[in-house]
Amino acid sequence: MPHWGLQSPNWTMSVPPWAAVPIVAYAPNPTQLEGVLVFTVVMIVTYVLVGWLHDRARARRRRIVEDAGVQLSVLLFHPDVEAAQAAERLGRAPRNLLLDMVQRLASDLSGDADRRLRNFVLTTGLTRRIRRRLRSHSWRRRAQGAALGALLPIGDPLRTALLDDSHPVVRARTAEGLDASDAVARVARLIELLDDDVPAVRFAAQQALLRSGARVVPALAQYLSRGDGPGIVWALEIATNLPDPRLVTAVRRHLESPDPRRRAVATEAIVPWLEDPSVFVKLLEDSDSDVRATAARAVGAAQAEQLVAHVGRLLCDRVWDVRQQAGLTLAAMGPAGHMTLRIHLDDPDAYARDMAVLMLDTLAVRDSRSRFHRISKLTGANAA
Amino acid sequence: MSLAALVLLWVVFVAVAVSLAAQVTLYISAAIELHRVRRRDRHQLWRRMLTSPLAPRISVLVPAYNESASIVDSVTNLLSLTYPNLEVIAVSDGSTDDTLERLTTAFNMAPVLPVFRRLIPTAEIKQLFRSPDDARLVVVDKQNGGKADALNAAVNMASGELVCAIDADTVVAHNALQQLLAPFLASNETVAVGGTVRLVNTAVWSESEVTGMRAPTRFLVGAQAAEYPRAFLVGRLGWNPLGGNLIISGAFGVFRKSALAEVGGYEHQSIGEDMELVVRLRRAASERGRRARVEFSPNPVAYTEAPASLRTLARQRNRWFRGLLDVLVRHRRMVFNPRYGSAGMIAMPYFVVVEALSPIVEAFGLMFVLVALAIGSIPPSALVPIAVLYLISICASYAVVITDDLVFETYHRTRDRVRLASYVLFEQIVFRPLTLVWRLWGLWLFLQGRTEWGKHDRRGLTT
Repeated sequence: MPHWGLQSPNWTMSVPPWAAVPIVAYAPNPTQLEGVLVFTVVMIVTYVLVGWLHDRARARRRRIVEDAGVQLSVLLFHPDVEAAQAAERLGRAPRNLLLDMVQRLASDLSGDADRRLRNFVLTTGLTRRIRRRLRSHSWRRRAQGAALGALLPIGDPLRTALLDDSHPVVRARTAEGLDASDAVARVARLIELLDDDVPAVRFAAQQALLRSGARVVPALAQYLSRGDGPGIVWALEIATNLPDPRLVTAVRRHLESPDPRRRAVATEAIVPWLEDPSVFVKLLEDSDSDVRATAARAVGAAQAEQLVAHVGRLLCDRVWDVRQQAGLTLAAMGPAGHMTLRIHLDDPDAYARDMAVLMLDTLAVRDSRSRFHRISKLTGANAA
Repeated sequence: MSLAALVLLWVVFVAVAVSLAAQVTLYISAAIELHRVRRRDRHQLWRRMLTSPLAPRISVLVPAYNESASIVDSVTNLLSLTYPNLEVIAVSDGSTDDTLERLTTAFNMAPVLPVFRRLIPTAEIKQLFRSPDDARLVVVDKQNGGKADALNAAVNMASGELVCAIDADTVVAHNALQQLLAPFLASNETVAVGGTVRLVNTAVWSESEVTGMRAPTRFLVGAQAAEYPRAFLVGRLGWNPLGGNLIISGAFGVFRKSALAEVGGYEHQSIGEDMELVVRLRRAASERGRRARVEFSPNPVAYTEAPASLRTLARQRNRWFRGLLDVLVRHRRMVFNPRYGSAGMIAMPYFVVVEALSPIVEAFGLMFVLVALAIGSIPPSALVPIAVLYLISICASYAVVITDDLVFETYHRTRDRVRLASYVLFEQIVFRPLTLVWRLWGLWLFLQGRTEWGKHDRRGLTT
């Protein structure tokens, strides 16, 4: 019988060697218990030491960043002499740190400060680094470069080249970093990106188009009048947030779309340009409940009193959201809407009666509350 | 030594080996994922999200039952979050204290009629309040129906396409919602994302924001401070590359509302409603031939109050364990079922073998060793393997605590680090055996069919 290093004679006599494997595999040795304690102390000391070293490194980096920040603010906002000295000092700072700081500042600057920053980037050779990052094989480096692309000279094709990148994060970062003039120059590509599968890319493209304002409207109108991809819904969302009469005709086309989501967003987008309320009559009778609810809300937003009776009919709708929107619209439309709600108190349809009661009760609560506020203000004023 | 004892010895050995292998895999996976997530997070579009009118609407759901100590601080914190398209829905779930009064007074709430769509059936809604000062806040007063019911009521009220479920004693970091949104922007398949939860008990406050952390002075809270980073950084983050998480903490998680409504919301009868919901989301997606991604994101942080008394902690832990068992029993068909992909073939078996059976195996193992030592069947030196296991466990805990501290810059003072290091020891040597007892107690209660929550004595967030 081989000896397993265990102390008890009973053990070695009664246990076959294979059964003891789980225990002896660890080569037990009681003196190791002391080692355990020593090791634990070492771990505590290691933790404190590593933490201390990390804190020191972090504090040093923070000092460098703060110093560079001060120099950068002098460079951007102070007279030329001081700015030149600051630029000289900044020229000695680590390049990667400078790039990080410049990246954080770039999108918030305009005018003279922006011109100075670009000049600084050009004279310190940072543009070379940005170009290298934009051409890198690593998508992460390209993504870093994409955020800095706007600092390259205007007209440089690299500023917007990565909108065509294969990696979605790079495409999104490039779209995010675009300034208005680049967005206008690449508006066709940005509109294409609205069809992208990755929500982040779509979001960044939407943002870039929105930031560019009225200058992208013709291209957007063209896409909305001819396009048929999944990006139409996102383009319609832009149209909702970028109200422009040139979009009306193109948006109107989607009120007839077979896709209910498009019809619903198009309804929202058309509200500010409501000239012919009869357009909404059809939407209020749409087969999709989301469209009916949106149309009811839109009638309220447009204050189209001539459609009150049509909205009143939606109080009988089988879908709760539609009844709610109809009720809220009528409540918001003043005497004509309130009268319609009162008429529906006697409606044979239980749903309509219920919603009318709910809305009129809500109005009563609101009225009593505003009366209470008025009285409180008066008594407060009297007390003062 | 008898044959039965030998068999038992081998069973314990195999269970320990499987558990160790699983843990090592999780640690490696967590390390790789942490590296990946940190690099990914550098490229998020947070700045644009801060001001965008197109940012998706998030409704934050705050279920509260007798939370008067912390509810006002919690809602104040939520209303100060830097997210542009936010809605906060606080639900008083039949509170018997002054939770509702505190809310209505603090935020100048006025009653309006309960007009909402009943997507999910819930207990009766008694009153609905809105504030003329802040249109983002909605307060719901309803009959008591449990946390799941309160969350379902809040989902019914929610107008956002995403809903964020938090506990009433939870404080959310100012930019946490933007960060939680990143996985939803990365893929349409993402249905749920969870964030890290830290302890608020010893947080350093400025206004309504947590600006730093101090190591707790009480051992019980300290042990939890040492335990939480391991639970989140390893137990959650490690699952991202291994096929996704099965748990999104009830204290802080964001869900796609359409997916939530599709599966009928939170399960009323389940005691572990947060895990049950995630498992059901994944199960429903697999059965409908779709993919449902559930991710954990380590950087967005929320702070919650840790139980400071042994009694409350015991109740919390045994409830957690009953919740786990409940979910595993409810969804037992998923275990080793290839139809459910990685959830059925990896995650569920892990939770059955490593998490659910662990207290039984640990208890048997300890009993076996103690009895064998008492009757002299094994020598005292046979304890060394157990000590080695403890040592490995302690080293792993240290590694996680150090990583968490350095990566997320949690603690800055040497005295906090020394304290935390001692808590790691305390947690492994005293706290873990205690949790074993609480889990066994939970098992006993589960077998008796007990599903009550138990009371959590709150001290309030700013105390």
